[in-house]
Amino acid sequence: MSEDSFPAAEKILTDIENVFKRDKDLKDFEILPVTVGENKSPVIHAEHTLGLQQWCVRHLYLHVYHKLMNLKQQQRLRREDPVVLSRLLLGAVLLNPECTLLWNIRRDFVVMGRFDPICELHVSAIALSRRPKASEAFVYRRWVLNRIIASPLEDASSYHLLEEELRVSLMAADRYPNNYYAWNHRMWIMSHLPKASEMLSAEWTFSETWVSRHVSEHSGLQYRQYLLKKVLQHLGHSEWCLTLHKTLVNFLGPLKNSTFYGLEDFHLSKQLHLLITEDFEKKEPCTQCPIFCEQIPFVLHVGLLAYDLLLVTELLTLYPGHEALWCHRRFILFSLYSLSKEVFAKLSEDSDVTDGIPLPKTQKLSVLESDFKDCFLWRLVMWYEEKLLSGCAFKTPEECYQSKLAHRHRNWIDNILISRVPGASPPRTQNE
Amino acid sequence: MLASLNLKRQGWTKQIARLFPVNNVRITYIHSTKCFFQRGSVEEFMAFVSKTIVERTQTAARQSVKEGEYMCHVYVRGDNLAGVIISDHEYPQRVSHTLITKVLDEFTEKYPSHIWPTATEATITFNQVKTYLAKYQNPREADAMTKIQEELDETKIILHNTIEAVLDRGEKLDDLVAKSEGLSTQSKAFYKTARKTNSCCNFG
Repeated sequence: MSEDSFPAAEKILTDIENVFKRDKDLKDFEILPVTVGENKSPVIHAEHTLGLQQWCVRHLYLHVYHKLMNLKQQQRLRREDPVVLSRLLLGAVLLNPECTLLWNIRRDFVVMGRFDPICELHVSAIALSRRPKASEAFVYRRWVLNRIIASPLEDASSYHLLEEELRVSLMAADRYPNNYYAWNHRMWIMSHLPKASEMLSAEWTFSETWVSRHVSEHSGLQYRQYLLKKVLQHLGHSEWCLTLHKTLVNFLGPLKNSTFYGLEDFHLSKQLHLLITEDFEKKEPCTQCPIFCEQIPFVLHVGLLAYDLLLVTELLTLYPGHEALWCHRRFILFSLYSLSKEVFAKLSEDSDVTDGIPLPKTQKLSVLESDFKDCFLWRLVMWYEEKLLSGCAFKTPEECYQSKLAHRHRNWIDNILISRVPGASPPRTQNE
Repeated sequence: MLASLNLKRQGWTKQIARLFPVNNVRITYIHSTKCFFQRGSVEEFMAFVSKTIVERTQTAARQSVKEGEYMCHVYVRGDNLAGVIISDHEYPQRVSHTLITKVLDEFTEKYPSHIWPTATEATITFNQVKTYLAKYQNPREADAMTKIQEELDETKIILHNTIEAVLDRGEKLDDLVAKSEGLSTQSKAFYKTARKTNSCCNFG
């Protein structure tokens, strides 16, 4: 029934396929709002973009879909002429990349060796250019990539693969706001593809630019959090030390402020304070690393987290009223909290050793708890929070929402974060 | 993201609002990545919307109008010179308005008001707009942002949730589009489909 209902279908499909064959750099697929068919081909090709006129879409898809379904029901898919079949499948996935069945048929043919995996990546990228949120297309890409990287690759081709994947996921993220699938795919790329770890610092810089232009995108910020965790695992001396030096000088600046006097009385705090601040200010950054990342434990961690804390502070003041930024801030605060705790535990362990007599465990814990609130790092972080929150008075409607978010943030600090710090919750007067 | 920046002058009567040339800058940012075939239509449509809104803004007033995924910020100065910025929702409103003020000031410096009546698109070149659009894509990098926010004069920014709210009583956007001479047939078809699917590029 369907076979003859749209006689032009095979011609259009051939046209589409020819564009694919002719243009290896094809980037985009679009449907044009031309509702009345004139008597010529609806396929347009210009500047690496493939356009299809809207009037034929419905008929073409019905034709392709029925034909494929008939073949599948009669179990004739494998016996069908491969040229005809690949044409049908191409049209089908371009028009409806959300259909898992179509991708599954393609999978079959890749396994049989009749479709080339690299071409498959190209086809799914074009399909994504029109429907950037098609999760099936992303899943299919990952499946194909897994097959490709299963065999050892040359360096050049792994870089090429990586670049292309990053390009596709960026394209999808650009075209559809809050495109969770695209960012999820990017995370997968960064953790699975060979050579991806070499891109970490470049990605870190890239994501900074991205989040500062898309301040309400939870997905983009989530990717940044993923990167942060990843970077923290692979820390070492790098070109980043210079940037982090600047950040740390900025971040630790308020310590000279009078609020922080008297902190040096506490033994552990003093030790850490000396370690970080004094080293920093006296020696010029002329030795091999400006922040002595090898001598001072945790300095890279503190630096990185401080970098993002300052970044998100800046964005919060520039773009009032975006919840995503506040959420990102909570993530950083929590990381800083865990880090402060870790640093503190490490230092108290060290001091036990220097004293010669290890403290009994219970005593050690209580020392830890009572001193933690006075850990200068933590005090500094809380000072930043206080400063930010007190600056969130409202003037315009945007800022009214901002102050609501700020209020929530304060509640979160008081009830969730502080309550985790034993004995560190001085009764706070609520402003609102 | 900033999409477009048009300079216009409100005429003495509402019908002759004129568009000063901002050569090919309008669309550079949004549609360099998507809607390849529709770029021309989107551009025409942005010019159309800018013109429509300017004509319906009072002298010495600021407005920000939501339309779909975009925001249009308008400022008509006391001397009837007007500027429009089209941005996305995330772009800080204050920064947009500060930028309009700044560009209008510079424009007046270069082309004082006495030459406006005779000026045509051909006699005016104002390429700074291009630089500003590029620079203000990321307000973090634009100069002394925090100071700029304070500088914004006290003119209140009126917010509208739809473009319909800006139109005169009894006017409808669909009718305006149908009547417009500035829009090609192709753009009108584009508008209809975009209206129906509620997005500009994902047809079908």
